[in-house]
Amino acid sequence: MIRGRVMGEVWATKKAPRLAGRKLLLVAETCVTSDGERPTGRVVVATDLLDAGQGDTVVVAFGSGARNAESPGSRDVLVDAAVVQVIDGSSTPGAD
Amino acid sequence: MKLARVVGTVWGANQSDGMNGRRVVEVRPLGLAMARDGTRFSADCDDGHLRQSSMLALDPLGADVGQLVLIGVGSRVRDLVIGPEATTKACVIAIVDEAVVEATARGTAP
Amino acid sequence: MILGRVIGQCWATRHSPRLDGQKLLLVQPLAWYDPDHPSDHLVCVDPVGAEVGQDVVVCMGLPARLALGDTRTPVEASIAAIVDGVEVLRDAGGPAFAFAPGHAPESLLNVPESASSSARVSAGNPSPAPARSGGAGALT
Repeated sequence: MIRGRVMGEVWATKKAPRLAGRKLLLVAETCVTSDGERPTGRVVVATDLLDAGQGDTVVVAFGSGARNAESPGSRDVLVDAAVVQVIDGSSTPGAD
Repeated sequence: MKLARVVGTVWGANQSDGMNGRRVVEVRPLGLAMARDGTRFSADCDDGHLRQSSMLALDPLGADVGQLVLIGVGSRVRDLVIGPEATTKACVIAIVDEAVVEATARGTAP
Repeated sequence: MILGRVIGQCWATRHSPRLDGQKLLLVQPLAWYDPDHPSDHLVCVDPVGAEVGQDVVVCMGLPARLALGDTRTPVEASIAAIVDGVEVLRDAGGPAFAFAPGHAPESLLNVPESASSSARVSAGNPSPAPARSGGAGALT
């Protein structure tokens, strides 16, 4: 899992059927150092069931973890990254 | 599996069902760029051994901030350590007392 | 998933039988997440019908095989969606979140933090580039 910040939203009408109806967020991976939180430059498109808002700091899971967020145990959702938690706080030095 | 140090915990009430209120820790993996033969990694090892990037992992063991942990990544590990429904592939599978580097190409520390 | 732009197409006469009938697209990642495999291009199968010049969402790994309805397909990237619009909050996280020069989606809409939701009009995809002469390009 990674820490990231929601930087935007992606809209698509034409989707593969197994991705239909899912909200897609653009999440920038961030790294927390003692100087604060800064983007690493890596960006991922993740599905979102938690209604995360733009600017929110979130936890993004990949692979089977992401599929579990969409539908536990399922192997037939077309999802490889998903927002699994909206971060309220963190004890990491440098985090908000 | 990789060695990492816990640098903080992360919390948030708005979470997937699969998270199930489990503890999430932020860890920085060890890098071996500075390691020499005889370098010992433990909870109080030099920050210079840590990589700049960090990652998040579920922590069923309750590791404290500063401790060295073993991170397993993959669905098999997740199924065994936490459960098949958990929404992660990375989890803490051990709290490490000490790890020693014994034979690098760089030789012993001066 | 990652955001990318279809920049071309691949043809292969000799290929795994499980790739029969699949169109292979060359995709340039615009926003790339994969620490293990840094690469400036991807070859993706396309079950959706994307065309050169369009921005797409690419799914990697097992789900990419699922998209083709058979997990035994030797494939690790497939087109999951064709992008209509991308909205980025201009002030979300500061200027460092900007796309690299030349790597912004065609339909990118920078929305100032103060803008209301009425500004959510997607710019739409560019009209696809003319198809390469020589047929649809699906593997046979």
